[in-house]
Amino acid sequence: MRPIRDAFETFQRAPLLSALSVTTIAFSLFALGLFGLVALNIREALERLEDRVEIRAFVAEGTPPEDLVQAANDIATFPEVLSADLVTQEQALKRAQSELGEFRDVFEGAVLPASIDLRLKPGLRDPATVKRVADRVKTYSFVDDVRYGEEWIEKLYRLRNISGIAGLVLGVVFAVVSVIIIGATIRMTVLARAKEISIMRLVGATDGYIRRPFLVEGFAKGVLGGLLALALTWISQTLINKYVIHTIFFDARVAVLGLLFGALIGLLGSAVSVGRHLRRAWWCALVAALVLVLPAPATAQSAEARIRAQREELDRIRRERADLESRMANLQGNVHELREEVANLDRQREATERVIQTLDRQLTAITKDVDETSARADKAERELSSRRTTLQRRLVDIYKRGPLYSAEALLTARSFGELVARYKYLHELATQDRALVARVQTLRDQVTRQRADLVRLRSAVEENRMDKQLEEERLARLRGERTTNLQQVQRSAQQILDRLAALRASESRLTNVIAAIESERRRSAATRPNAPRETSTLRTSDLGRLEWPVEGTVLYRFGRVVNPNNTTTRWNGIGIAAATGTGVRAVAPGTVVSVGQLGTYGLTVIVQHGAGDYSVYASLNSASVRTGGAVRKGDMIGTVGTSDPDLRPHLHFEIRPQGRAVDPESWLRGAR
Amino acid sequence: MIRFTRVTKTYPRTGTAVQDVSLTVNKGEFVFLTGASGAGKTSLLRMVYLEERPTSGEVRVAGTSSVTATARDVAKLRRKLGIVFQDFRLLEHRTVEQNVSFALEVIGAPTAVISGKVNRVLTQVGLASKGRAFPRELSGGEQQRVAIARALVNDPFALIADEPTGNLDDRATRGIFQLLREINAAGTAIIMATHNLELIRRQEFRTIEMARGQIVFDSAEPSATPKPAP
Ligand SMILES: Nc1ncnc2c1ncn2[C@@H]1O[C@H](COP(=O)(O)OP(=O)(O)O)[C@@H](O)[C@H]1O
Ligand SMILES: [Mg+2]
Repeated sequence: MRPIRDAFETFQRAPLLSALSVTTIAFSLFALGLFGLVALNIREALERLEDRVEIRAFVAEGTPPEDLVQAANDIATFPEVLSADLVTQEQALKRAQSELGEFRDVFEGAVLPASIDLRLKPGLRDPATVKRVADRVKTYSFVDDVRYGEEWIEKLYRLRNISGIAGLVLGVVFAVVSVIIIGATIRMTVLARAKEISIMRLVGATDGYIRRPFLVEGFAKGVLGGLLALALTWISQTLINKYVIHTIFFDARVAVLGLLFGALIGLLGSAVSVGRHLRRAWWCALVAALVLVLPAPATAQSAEARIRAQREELDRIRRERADLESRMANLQGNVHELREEVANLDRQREATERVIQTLDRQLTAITKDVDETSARADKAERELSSRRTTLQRRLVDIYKRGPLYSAEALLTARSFGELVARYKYLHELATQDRALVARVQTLRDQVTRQRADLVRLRSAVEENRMDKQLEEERLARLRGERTTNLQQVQRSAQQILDRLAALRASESRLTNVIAAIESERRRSAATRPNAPRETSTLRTSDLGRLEWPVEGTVLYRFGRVVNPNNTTTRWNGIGIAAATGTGVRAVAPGTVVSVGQLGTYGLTVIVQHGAGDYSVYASLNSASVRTGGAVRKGDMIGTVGTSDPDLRPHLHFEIRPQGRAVDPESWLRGAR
Repeated sequence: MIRFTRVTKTYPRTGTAVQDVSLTVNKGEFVFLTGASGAGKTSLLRMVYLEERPTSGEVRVAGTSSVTATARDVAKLRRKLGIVFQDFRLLEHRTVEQNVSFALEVIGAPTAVISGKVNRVLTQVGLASKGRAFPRELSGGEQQRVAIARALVNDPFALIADEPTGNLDDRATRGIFQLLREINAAGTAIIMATHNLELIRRQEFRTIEMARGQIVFDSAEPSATPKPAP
């Protein structure tokens, strides 16, 4: 019992060291256990794979069903064949939908080839036999594709052999490593007890006796380490089962064997170390690094931002315009002057113009966007159809590969990297295709929606533009009208002013003429002092008694007259309207002192009635008297004419006693 | 009882440590082994308890021959020998009693007899009262007494002591030597290597002097005269 007590004492005396060695053993056995699990599961998987070796002969479309049934029966009689089942197109579709459940919808309406599925008898599933049978099946004329995973079946067999050898080699390697590790840990306790050992030897303890506690210790450590490793392995396996993939665990027999193995290498390790010669400790280090590369997500951009900016710009201009319009309304309400109205109209028109220009620019931009979007929609559509085709093709291919396609990927890989790549490839490709199809579809829908939005926006803008155009035209017309009005008014005002000026000029000329005549008369009267004192033929008794020089209505009266356009005119006589050519008679006897054109008075006859009194007949068409000639009362002196284009044909008649103009109507009879 | 016959010991790197030594030690004899440091005393003693085997010649101890002895024979032989060193070689973590009883336990002595034997031998070396002390709590002389007790506990026929007083002061040295004499008086042969010539000179015991691996003087030889060193 002493060796056990001694061994126990060692654990007690150096618990940390002991725990360390137990853990070390546990971990090396754990590694062994993990590899063992992998090997076990690979073997298990390979066995199951072999069970599933099958040949699928896909037949050409349109082969008569009875031919297929006949062929299937034929093939079933081959000596190697266990069974040959006919799978129709409908069954193929159903099978694909269940095998590739996630693509159920994609298979909707797809046509998958019919096939004859062969299973070989157990023991006749080696590559050579499979190939032979496959070649034979290929000879049927309607068989156009035979799939049996030629590459992977061969690899499967090779892998099965290799996995056996690898398991053995790995087992040996790990056993050796474990022995070395256990030896090293035991050696530490041996060293710790070197003095004790030397004394034991000195007092005659046998080598066996000395060695025994160490062996017990090694054994115990081996068993403990083994148990720990078993627990660790079991936990790992449980975790793997839960999170990664279903695996199988060692059965009880193998587990006990593993424990025994642990105990054995524990014993072996201590036996190796308890020799008198110390050996070097071996250190083994394993470094594994995994680098994960995460793909960076891509970003996309749209024309929406630009359109939004343009819309804002348009809104701004619209607001500006509305402002102007209201100001215009104000102006229209408050301001009467045409000029301001025109200027306002101009501003309004300018604003409208700017709106139109902006709208035009927007239209151009939107049209460009629409074009681009249309192109993108087209491209997306094309892409979608090509993706769909790819996906369908891939799925048919996956279907043809059968349920073993993932195993095939695993087994035909030439390197670990390729294995991962291919496994991922096959496993994910279709899913990715499908995601791509969905993405492209969404993209296309988006683009189409965007395009519709843009088109709607464009027509709205166009409508708006049309409105503005009409408004601009209306404004232009309005402005034209207003301008014409303004010009007319301005012109007529000017004309009036001109006429007034002319009238004033003519009047002063007339006054001058009369003044000149009067001064001449006075001079001549002075040279003849003995001559009888002149008397006027226009007597005060004649007031209101004189005959009218021409019969007609009064066109204008003497004195200040307010015109309709707010101008005022001073007339020195009256206008008597009469038809052109009507005869004009002298109102009193006298001498004609002037016949001639006199500015705006036109053809004018001035008659002197003596003693500085005159009468004036203007706006004549013709004169029938000559200067110096005498006229009697009622003598014809000319005919009515036109002097002012703005006035009807009339006679301008003045009476100027002593040269000063007075209202002729007071002299004329029956003043009207 | 202990016989060396033309024994030569050659180490691979340091050369010949013992050369052509023939020697007999009888039962109950007290032998001093002297000589300069490096003369080969320790090598000779190690061959007595078969820690080393002669390169040539034969060592016979109590019927065990260095030529034929197995590891097991060596272990058996050592149970009948007591061995003491200059550096005591005690287990620091065990008490005096445990250090002594350890020598019985590891050879599978029945538990029942152990404590009695330990008490007796501790009394013999004069440490009966210090059985529960640890070695570091003892003086050098006392520690060497513990080592001697451990060597004696199996009732050896011979005690081999390699410079047992080398680390001790004069008083302790005399005490240890006194103890060895008592042990010898009880019938146990003693071979003691020492270069404490003072100690030897006052004794009448057999003295063997070594130089360069050879015995240059043995007081038991009738014709013995000290050979002058060449
Ligand atoms: N274990 C050994 N290995 C190799 N050489 C040794 C060993 N023990 C002693 N020697 C050599 O043998 C010679 C004698 O040494 P030793 O017997 O210890 O002398 P002493 O005990 O008389 O001082 C020395 O030269 C020493 O170097
Ligand atoms: Mg020595």
